[in-house]
Amino acid sequence: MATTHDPKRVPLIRRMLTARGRSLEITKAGWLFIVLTLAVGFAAINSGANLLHVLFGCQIGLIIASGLLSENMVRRAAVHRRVASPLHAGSRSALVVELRNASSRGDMISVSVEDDDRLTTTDQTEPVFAVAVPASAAMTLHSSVTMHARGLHPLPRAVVATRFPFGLFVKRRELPGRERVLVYPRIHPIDPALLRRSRTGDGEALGARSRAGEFYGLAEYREGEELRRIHWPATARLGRAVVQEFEARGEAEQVLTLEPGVGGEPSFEAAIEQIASQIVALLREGRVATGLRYGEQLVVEAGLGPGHERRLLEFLALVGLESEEHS
Amino acid sequence: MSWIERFARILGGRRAGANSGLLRLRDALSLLQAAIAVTAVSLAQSVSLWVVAVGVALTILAVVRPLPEQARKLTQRLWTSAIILALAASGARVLLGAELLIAGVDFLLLMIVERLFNRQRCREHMQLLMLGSVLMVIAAVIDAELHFPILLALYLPTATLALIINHLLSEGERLGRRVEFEVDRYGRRELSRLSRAALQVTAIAAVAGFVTFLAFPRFGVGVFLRGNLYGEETVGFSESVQLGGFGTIKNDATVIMHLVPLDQSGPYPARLTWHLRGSAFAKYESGRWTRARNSRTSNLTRSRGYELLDEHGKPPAEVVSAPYRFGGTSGKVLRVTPIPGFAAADQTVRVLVTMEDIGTDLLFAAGRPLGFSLAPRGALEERNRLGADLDDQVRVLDRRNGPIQYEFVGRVGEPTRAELLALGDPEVPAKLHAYINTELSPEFKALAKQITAGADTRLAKVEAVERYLLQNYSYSLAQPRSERVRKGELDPVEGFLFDTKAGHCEYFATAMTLLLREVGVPTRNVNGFYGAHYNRLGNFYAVRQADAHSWTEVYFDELGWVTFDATPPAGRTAGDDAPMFPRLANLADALRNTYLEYVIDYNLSKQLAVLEQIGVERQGHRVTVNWRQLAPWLVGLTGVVIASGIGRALWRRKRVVVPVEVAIYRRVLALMQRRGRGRREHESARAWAARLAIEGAPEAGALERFARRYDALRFAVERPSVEELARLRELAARLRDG
Repeated sequence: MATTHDPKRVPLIRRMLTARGRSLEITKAGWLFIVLTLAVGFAAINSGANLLHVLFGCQIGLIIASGLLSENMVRRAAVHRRVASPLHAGSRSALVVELRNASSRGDMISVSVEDDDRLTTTDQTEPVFAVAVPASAAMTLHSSVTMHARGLHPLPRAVVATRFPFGLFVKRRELPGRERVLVYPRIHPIDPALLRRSRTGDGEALGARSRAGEFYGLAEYREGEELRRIHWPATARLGRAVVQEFEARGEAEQVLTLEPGVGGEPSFEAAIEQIASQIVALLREGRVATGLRYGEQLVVEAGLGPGHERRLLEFLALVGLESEEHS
Repeated sequence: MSWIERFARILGGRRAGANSGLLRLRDALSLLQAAIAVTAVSLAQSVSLWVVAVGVALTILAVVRPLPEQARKLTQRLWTSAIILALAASGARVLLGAELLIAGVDFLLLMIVERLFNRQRCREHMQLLMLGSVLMVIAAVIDAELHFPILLALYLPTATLALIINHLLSEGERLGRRVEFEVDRYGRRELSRLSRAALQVTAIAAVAGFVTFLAFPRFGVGVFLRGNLYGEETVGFSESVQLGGFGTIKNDATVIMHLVPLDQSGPYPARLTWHLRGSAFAKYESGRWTRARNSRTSNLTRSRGYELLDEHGKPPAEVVSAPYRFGGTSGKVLRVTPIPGFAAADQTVRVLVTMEDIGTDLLFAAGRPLGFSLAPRGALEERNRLGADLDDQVRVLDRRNGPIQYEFVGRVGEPTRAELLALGDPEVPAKLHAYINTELSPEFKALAKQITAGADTRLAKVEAVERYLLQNYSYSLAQPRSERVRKGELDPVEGFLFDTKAGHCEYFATAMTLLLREVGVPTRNVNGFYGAHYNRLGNFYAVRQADAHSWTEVYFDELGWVTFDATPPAGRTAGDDAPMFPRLANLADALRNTYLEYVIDYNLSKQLAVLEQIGVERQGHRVTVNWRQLAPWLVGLTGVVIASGIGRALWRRKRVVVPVEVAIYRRVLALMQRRGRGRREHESARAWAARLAIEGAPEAGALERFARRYDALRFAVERPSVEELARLRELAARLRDG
């Protein structure tokens, strides 16, 4: 179920001022300035007054300088975006935008990263703005992204924009490449009674490591683990990140079943949404080991933990969409 | 605090709401650019002074007490009503006869004041900038003086920096408090960088303005509204002159004419002693000179570009060469018709004159004018035509506003004493009766007869009167009026002769003219300028307002009207002291003249001349390029660009002063990077060393000692000593050597 990015009808002047990945939009103040410049130019030509020619030239020079400076700003911007939290369809997720000044000289001033407004799309990211990025430095900015549909999709096309130096024109540069992100299915809150029915009581300690229960020991931090499990005093002492581990207790187990379908069909999507919501509720709140069966096939065994949740959601994100991904 | 921050604190005034430094700076810059623009229009005399005074008073109030960001509705309504009223008042003023331009500029001034009171948001500041730029455009149209480019040079960087700061603040307004805070912090920290950016933009704008000025072809008339230098003030060259007017201008050092002799080569004397004749008057009544109905009329005869002023009913000379405007030639152009008994009749001067608009359409010439030729510098001046008036006066018919350039040939040779004596005292023909009429008191007549008793020739009478005035009267710029004149019992000239016995050139000239008339000598009173001062910087003679002068012309039959000056010599040169700083005045005048010639009066023909000079020629419809001529210019320009690039790079390198300890540290960083044990981005020197120690790197110990020493030097209160730096170098060397 691919997201569409249809080109929007943009004003003629903006289309005329678009070339080589750059586009120029004239602000209200910019229009006023252009009208004033043309008026002065007309008066200069009509009257032959030499000082009017000088003023006309100065105004043209300001427009040229504005163009040069704004091009200087957008050209040196290098942007990398990554999703910082699980991305569910229809929900806002954290997006980290790394904005780097690729030039070794001079600050990059008054630059924003925003969606390309020439495209019609339901996916959107919140624009971010950097007042100044020093030379050869990078700035991390926090934004949010909302994707409409589950699956593997590119982020909305972004542009680097600036109104520097005078706010008369908005210069935009298309960013090359679009990061692809995996969008999990939409989720919604689940009835707590369902969670209670799933739990069958406390079990014995199993001697296995777990996320909750009796303190078991310290282990080295691995990429993807929850940051709140880091034991900071031990980390400071040892000089490397370590996490706390607890003894697993016996938990209830549940295997959910998804009937096969075709991606995009409303009933199939609704079923996926329900299953995903249950998975998230069971794993995060009920601590119920959850598995998944797709039709007759057990695709994911019951388990616990964030990694397990990721596996389940990844399957649900892509199920039924394989034919579309290959097209 | 840098100077710009101090300036913002003083001029930025109070702000209703947040008091951040960058906001105050923007306020200060908006105010400053508006002030420069208002100064420009004020100096161009296109705004009412009372409006400026009211505006300044209200601006002070606006700076101290601006309106809050959320002004009350009543306040906003009051301001809107005030603007509408002001607009209506401006319209009414125009309908009642006020100048449209002045009424319009007055209204714009009030708009600026209104915006200053309501300057809370960036939109209002942008409007202030636009208003300022409109005023500068208006001043550019009206003002042709040297102060405009100086004001423009101040205005451009101010407005540019204001625009940049306003833009940054508008992003803060648009994106919220967090961005506002960051903008303010960055702006104050990097103010010098922003100022440099503003200067760079100004430089680009200035270059573009210069290139447009030079290269953009002129299609219009070339001179717009250069205006009258003096408004309605007369300087003795109107249709009638009240006795006493000249005294008020003897201290006025304004240059009103530039003279360039065309038939002489250097060295030029510092001072000329020509009488530059302008207006002549024949009728005197109750202290006022006017023109008599039966004054002698003159005629102009056109010949080969010259308008020759008839003498004795026929052209005085034959034109032998073209005027200056056709080819810029110098030397003699007229072959003067000899006058029997007047040996010096052919002593002439030929001068190119650039005369400011001083409120008169008369042309001035030295001695007795023989011929004139207009030298138009544009389409506007080409429409000027000459016409002859009474008493050998030449005027520009339907003269347009603005300066005028022309060439004259004047006879400066005077008849000798013997030649004048030889004429005796001929009878005055009827046609000259207007020049011997007087209506003064019997005492006056008696005085005239007493002075000239025993004089049996016309020259003897003239000399007697001249001598009498020189010996018995003193020159004074003060204009004393005796009691009897104030009561109306005596005419002003009688008051001068009988009571005060002191006065300026007008009194002397009037007295001489009228005294001679009483004894049957035809005379007329002439106003003009005496002398000119050489300006070595500009290579021209400058005639100042203070050189205005009055003298007498006496009719000597075939010898024509001869100049006599009864004013004491000290009085003739009274205007020499008018400039307070003569050298500075000369420099300013030379600059002004150059500015007027090469900027204000730069026209299509000069553009073509410049292009031809660099090798671009127009031949019919084709444009040809002489590469041999153009190449040196291109090479020069390329050289300048390269030199400025190199200079800029050198200056930048010089500006970035890297502390020695940092340079040593950078070398260590590069060394370790090459060894594959470089520092990570987030690591301090010591953390880096600690990590390498954990990883078991062999240089860890040496690096740890270096890092500790480096931190101590780098972040110390005082600069490290030479020994300490040597020790740091030693540690770095140990690290290098392993």
